[in-house]
Amino acid sequence: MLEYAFMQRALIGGLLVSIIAPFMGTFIVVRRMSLIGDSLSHVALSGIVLAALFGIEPIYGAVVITVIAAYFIFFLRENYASYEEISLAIIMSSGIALASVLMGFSKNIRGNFLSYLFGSITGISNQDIYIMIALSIIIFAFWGVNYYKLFHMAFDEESAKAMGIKTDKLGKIFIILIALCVVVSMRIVGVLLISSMMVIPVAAAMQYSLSFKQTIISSIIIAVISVIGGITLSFYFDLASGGTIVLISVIILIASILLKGRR
Amino acid sequence: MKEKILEVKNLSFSYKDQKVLSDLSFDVYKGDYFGILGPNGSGKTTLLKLCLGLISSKEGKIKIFGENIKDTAQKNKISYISQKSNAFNVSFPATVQELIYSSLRSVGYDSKSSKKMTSDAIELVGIGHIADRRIGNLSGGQQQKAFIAKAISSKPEIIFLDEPTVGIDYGSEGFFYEAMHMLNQKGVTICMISHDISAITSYANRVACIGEDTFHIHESNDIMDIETSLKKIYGKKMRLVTH
Repeated sequence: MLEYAFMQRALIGGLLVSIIAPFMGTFIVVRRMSLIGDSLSHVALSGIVLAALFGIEPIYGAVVITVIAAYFIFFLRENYASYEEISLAIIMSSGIALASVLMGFSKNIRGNFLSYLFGSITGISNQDIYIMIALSIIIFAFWGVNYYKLFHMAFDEESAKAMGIKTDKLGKIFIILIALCVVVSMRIVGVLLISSMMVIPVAAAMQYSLSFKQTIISSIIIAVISVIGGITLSFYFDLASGGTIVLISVIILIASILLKGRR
Repeated sequence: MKEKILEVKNLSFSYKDQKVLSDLSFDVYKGDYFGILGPNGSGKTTLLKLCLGLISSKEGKIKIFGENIKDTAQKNKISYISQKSNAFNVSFPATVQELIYSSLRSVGYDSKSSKKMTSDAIELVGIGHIADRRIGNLSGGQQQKAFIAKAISSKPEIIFLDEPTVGIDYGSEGFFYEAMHMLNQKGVTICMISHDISAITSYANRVACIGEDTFHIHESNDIMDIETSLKKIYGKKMRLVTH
C-alpha cells in the first residue's frame, strides 16, 4: 500500500497525530479537561466551512477559527470561574451552530464535509502535510521548553504559581496548542473523533503505568498501533479511517482494563 | 535587628462587595514560626494567598524578601503546601520521586542538581521505601510526607502552609509538626494556618489571631494571651491543651 503517494501522506500524518495527540492528551486528562478537544474540534468545523466559502484551504480556516475559539474559552472561563465546563459546552454548541448556518451558503461542500467529520486517508494533500509538520514542530518546541512547568502546574497549580511559574500565561498557551493539535489531527481521525485520540490512549496507559513519563510513552505506543492499524484496515477494507483508528484504541483500552483486573 | 522576610502594610481585600480583610499590617521575620489562627471565613486562606501572590489586592502592599510580591524573581525561595494538597487528583499518574524531581526542574534547577536535591529530600523525610510508588496509591499520611519532601526539596527560606494536617492520622500529624519544628530550628521561616490551636501554641513563636473585625499579633506563644484573643473572636472560652 505504500506505493501510493496518498498512503505515504496518510502514514506521515497519522504518525504525527499519534505522537502529539496522546502527549497533549496526558496533560488534558490529568487537568480534567477531557472535553476541551471535543469543543475545539466542533469549532474547527465552522472554520473548514468558512474557508471553503472563501475558496481557501480548509486547514487555514480551521487554524484561525480554533485559535479564536481558544481565546473565547479564556474569556468565558474568567466569567464562569467556578463552572469551567460551561465555557466548553458554549464553545462546542456555538461551533456546530456556526458550521450549520455557514453550510447553508455553500451547497457543494457537503460531500467533502463528511471526510472532515470522520477522517479520510485519501483526502490529505501535500499542503496538509506541510502544515501538519509545521504545527507539530511548534507544539514540540513548546513542550521541550515547558514540560516540567506544565507537569508542576497539572499536579498543583497553586503551588506552581506560588513558586514563580506563570501559570495563567502557560494555561492560555496550552489551550492554543490544543487548538493546533485539533487541526493537525482532523484530516486523519476527523473532527468528531479527535478528542478520543487525546483521551483513549491515555486512559488505557493510565491503567498500568506507574509514572507520568511511562503514561506518556505508553499512550503514544497505543496511539501509533491504533493509527497504523486503522489506516491499514481502512485502505484494504475501504473503511472510514477515523472510526477504525478509534475503534482499535477502544479495543486496546478494554483489553488493558481486563488485564489489570486479572492481575 | 531581625531581617524581615514578609512585610504586609495596610492590606485590605474584598470578594465583590464583601470585605474579607481590613487594613492589616504585620511583618514576618527570618526564622519565625508564624502561626495564624481563626475561625472559618475569617480570611486566613485569603491572607495566605495574597502573601503568596496567588491573588492580588488593590489596597495595601505586600513585600517578600524586600520586593513586591508580584515582581519578585525570588519565588524559588518560597514553598507552599496548600489545603488542596490533601484532596489532590488521586489518579495523578506520577511517582513520589518524579513529582519532587519535576517540581525542581520546573523552577529552573538542572537535571543533576534536581536528582541530588530529590534524593536528599526523600532521605530527610524518610520516604525512600515509597519513592517509586504512585502518589495516588499512598495513604493520606504518606502523601503528606511526600508533600513535605516536595516542599523542602528546593531548600526554601520560607514555607507557607494552609491547614496541612487536615485528613491525616494522629501519628502522621505528630510527625508533620515535628518535621516543621526541625526545619524551623535550621532557620527556615514557617508561616502556617491551622485550626489546631494547641499545635500552634506549642510550636509557633509568634501567633496572629484573625476574626471578623479583629487582627491581633501575639509576639510570643503565651497561652493566656492567645486564649483572651480567641475568646473575643469565637465568642467563647477556648481550652488549650499543650502538645
